[in-house]
Amino acid sequence: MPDATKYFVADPGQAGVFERAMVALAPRYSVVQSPVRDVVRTWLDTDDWLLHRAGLVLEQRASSDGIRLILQSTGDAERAQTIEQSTWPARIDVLPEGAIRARLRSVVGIRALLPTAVLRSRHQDLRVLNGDQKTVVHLTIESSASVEETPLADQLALSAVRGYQDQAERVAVRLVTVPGLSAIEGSVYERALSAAGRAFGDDAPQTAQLTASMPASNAVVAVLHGFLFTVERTLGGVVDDIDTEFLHDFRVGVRRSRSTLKLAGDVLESAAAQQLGRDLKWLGDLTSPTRDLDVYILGLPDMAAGLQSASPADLEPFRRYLLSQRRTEFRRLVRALRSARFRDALEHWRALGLLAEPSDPGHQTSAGQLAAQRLRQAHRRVTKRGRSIGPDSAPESLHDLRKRCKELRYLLEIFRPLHDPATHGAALKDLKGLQEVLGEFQDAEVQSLAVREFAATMISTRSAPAPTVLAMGELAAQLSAHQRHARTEFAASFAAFDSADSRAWFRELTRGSSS
Amino acid sequence: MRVLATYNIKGGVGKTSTAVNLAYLSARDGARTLIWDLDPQGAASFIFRIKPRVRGGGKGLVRGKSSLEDAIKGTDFDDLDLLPADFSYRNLDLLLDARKKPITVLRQLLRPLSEDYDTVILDCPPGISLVSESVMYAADTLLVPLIPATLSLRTFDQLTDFVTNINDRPPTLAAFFSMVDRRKRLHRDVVATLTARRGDLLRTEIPAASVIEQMAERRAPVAVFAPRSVAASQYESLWAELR
Repeated sequence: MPDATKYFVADPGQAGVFERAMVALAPRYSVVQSPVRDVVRTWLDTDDWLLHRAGLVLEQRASSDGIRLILQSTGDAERAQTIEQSTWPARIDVLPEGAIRARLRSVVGIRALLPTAVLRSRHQDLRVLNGDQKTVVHLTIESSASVEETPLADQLALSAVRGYQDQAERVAVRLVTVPGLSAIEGSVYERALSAAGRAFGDDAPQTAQLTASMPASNAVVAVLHGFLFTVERTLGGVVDDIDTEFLHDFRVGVRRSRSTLKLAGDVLESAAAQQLGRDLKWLGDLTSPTRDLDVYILGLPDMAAGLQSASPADLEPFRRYLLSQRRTEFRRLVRALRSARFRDALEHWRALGLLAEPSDPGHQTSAGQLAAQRLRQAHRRVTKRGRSIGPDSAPESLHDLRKRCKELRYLLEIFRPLHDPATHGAALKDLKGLQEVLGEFQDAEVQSLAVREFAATMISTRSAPAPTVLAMGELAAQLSAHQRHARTEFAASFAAFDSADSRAWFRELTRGSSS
Repeated sequence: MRVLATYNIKGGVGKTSTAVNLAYLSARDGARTLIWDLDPQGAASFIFRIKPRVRGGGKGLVRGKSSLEDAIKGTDFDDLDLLPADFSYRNLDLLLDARKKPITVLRQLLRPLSEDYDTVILDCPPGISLVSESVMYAADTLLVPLIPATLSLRTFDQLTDFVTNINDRPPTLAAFFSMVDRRKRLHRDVVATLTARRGDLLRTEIPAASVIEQMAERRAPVAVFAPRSVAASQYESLWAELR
């Protein structure tokens, strides 16, 4: 935590604790008290805790003095800025230009900020002065605090003015002698989070405790329920359209579940697995149009910046067209996510554990055996297809290889808990490199085709002026160039994946899993 | 990080008052600001109620044995820190002279602070010395308070020539009239003449005001204890020109 503040809590059973604290300081220090005021403290982070992971704490503090946004970071001075009334969740674009927004942008990117905890309290700031009447320590008394309906103990926060840590230590020593006042560990943010029923990193699914010896069917159900956690957790953010990454994460949960079913679903009870497979396909198809449009809209500024002859402004009608299409598709998506069919799909998913039985109860495959077998098969498929690709192979062969690589990647991720982390990381490295090249190759092709199709539609509906059509033509050409570039990199990235070292890592993984 | 420095070969022209008030205004605008009191007299440190003492003294800082960051003290104002003066700074010339490329030393010392501060203001002692050369090399903008006297123009012309010849990165000169008493004809005449001859002077004039003298007594920037005074308003204008 970047918070270097020391905290003391008052024993609720004792009255006048803070008054006694002031008396304890009086012989040596003068203390200047500010008026008491009501404060609402709202801590903010992205859904996936990007600020916390970057060692940042962002707080909005609202009182009769106005609204301040305060950003603290490890090893850096606190930054504060006055802002207008803000409602959250919101993208950081709602913040005024300045150092805080710039710092946040580099960390959160396109993600929205959401309240993680809201604390209401009464604040009194106090300044502790030395003999020169210089402020050396800041104290804040926070009383009558509550997070939603949960009360928090009254507390005193102590922070040193820079360069006066020794004085702060002396003040702290005096405070711990005050009856009813106790020093505590952890920041007020942590206590507020806890009172709100939240914890840092609670976006991650409770990872199933996979062991090599557990029945394979139980392992697969645990994995599928992990993905269900992601889907259910992101659902609200998708429907409320908080930011585009909720839908992205939702789709990742769906896609990985489909792959898990395809690659290892045969160990489950077949009717339930087939039903879930149909549900997942429906969900995948349902969410694709909105996500595809998100990708175009998010990527447009970069693509526009790369235009050589056309002006980025020429693409404005195209951007508006994409936004309009996205609104239409998003409405359709939300209707479906509120439908009975979607509720049924979630029910099927949840009930999987109750229904799941090995297809052949006599043959109890273990998770370790399953992992080793399926990884070997998937690795063999990638190697075989990759080796058959030459300079003149059709694009479809690379697209097919990309799918096989994804399957291998999903298997690696699903069975990660069974693997030695170092071996797992080494095996993943070259696969990732190959996937990047294949991804760039296919994405460029798909996007180039899509731009052409969008242009055709816009022309037929007379919503594309000539400069826009020309700019879109240039965009399509740019994407084709990216695709050609990726094609030239394929041979080297596949050779790295197919190297003796890389194959040895995979052999090691499949040996380890089956033990 | 933008580095400004107050400089004049003469003493008592309002360098420290300017440094203190502009540092306060910079911080008030939300910029993380550091003022480095390089004058061994320690007037800026005194105004901010900070003891003019640095562990290891100037020698420790110049030789890199003590860190600038450890010597920094927070003032009573948000976003405003101060690097205190130390009496040993009177020998800073000799200490710099003992280093290779002495005029680059201050700039090198400030470099690690570039992530921590948006604005640094150097309050430079009077005189021409290795310290002032080092300050000029470190600064992006040299703030030059000119008192309304005939010799001021000559001094300013000399400074302009000197600064122009600094290799690599001469600072921008930002000169303005300081301690102006509009009741005095001489002041009015000199201001008019010099402004006509040098078109590159800042428009703001800082008055000769008792409220500025009171800074040492009140131990605070003018805007804190006399926010509606003419002097406070003129420092605001000066900062607006420099912002």
